[in-house]
Amino acid sequence: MKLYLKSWFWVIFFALVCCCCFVIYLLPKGGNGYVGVYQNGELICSFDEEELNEDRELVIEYMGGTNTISISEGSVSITQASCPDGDCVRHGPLEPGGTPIICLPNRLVIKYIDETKNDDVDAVSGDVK
Amino acid sequence: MRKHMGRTACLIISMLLLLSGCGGEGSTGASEEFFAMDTYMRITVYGDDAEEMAEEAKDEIERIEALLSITGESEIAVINAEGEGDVSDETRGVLERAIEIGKLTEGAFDITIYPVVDAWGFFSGDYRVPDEEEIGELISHTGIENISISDDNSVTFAQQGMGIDLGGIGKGYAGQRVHDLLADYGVSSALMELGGNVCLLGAKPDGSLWRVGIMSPFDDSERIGVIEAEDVSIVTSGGYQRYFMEDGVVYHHIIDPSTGFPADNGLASVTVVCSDGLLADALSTALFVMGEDGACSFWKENGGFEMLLVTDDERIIVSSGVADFFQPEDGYITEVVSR
Repeated sequence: MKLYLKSWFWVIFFALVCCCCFVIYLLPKGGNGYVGVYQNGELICSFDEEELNEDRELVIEYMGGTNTISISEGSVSITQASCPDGDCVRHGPLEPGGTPIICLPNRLVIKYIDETKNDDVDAVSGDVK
Repeated sequence: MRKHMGRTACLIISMLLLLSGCGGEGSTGASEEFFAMDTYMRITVYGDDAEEMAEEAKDEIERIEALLSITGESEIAVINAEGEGDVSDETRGVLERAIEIGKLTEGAFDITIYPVVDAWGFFSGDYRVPDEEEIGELISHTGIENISISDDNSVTFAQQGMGIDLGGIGKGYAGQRVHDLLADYGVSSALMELGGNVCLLGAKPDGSLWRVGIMSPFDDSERIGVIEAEDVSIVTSGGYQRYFMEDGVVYHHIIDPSTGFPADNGLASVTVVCSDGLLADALSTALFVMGEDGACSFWKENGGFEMLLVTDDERIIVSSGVADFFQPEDGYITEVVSR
């Protein structure tokens, strides 16, 4: 009888450990989503949800070139670029899950980062030229 | 007592094993993100020495860029400027593959289209619409038959005003080189995202297939579906990737070598899945130029790759070899083409 109780104790204990692991697995592994601005691969500034609600404009310089980042009504876009092609301006506002805004001549990348979200794909083919 | 300790030890080991699995991936990766080959790249390597391997991969891509770029002092830039020049064995190999694919696709892939693409402003970003007379003049200076490569690796053009651009295969070649380099170092799992070209080394660290989304050519916040694959390159070409508008007309960057104007054969994008990254890159452009019927005929006549075509009227056509590994997004219906 003593042995019987002991076995059940261990089974329940083991089940509890499994439950704990599952809960830990489901817990968010970072903060909320944010928009990161990268120049030449380095994060130079970021905007969290609260900061995205403050409308403003920022001019980012790189080797004599400039990009104007505009934050308006919670969305981020590039509204001016010194480069001739203007691909980054034409991209329009950044969308969560959408393609990053990239200015190749000025080595600028603006992308939405959400560390709590498990994306269902590992990569996207054709998202950038 | 000893028995009790043994049981406790087993339990602690089980807990540790369970907790170690809570990270999800079970293996950490290291990434390098950088600009190269006129695009934005990210390379993620898994396993031992991942950081060092990712740096090696970046160095390899920068080395290839210095060799094949149309700018700077690359071997290709010198040939374009001088009309002739000596090349390394490696560049010769890439040129010969490009010429071979040009012949195979009957000119739909053509590295000598450089002067025409340049006239449209797609290299400088100073976009303009050349008139038909200018296009006619420039196109008379194209054609892979006008390139000669001597035994001592000297490249010459048969006509003045010619130029070559390896942009249609450069990223594919670079991805494949990095794939092979990492494999030689013993890396079994890596993901190379080279500006929209995806090159997969092996499977994911947990042994499952990689899931690669395929960008919608109609909306840059949507995908048309997902391909599950391992150890292949997945390359997508489409007019939506680089274009400009003039007088309400959209002009994209994939120039049809037979007309000198942006290819307009009913396709919005082409994805090629192939174990040869260079071939995948070249064929994604060539099939786009061929259009739906030409691409399907080419696939039926030639093996070694799979394809996914998205037409202007939003149909998806997949070749039978990839159909089982493609999951379309809701609302898209696929047609399967078989040999």
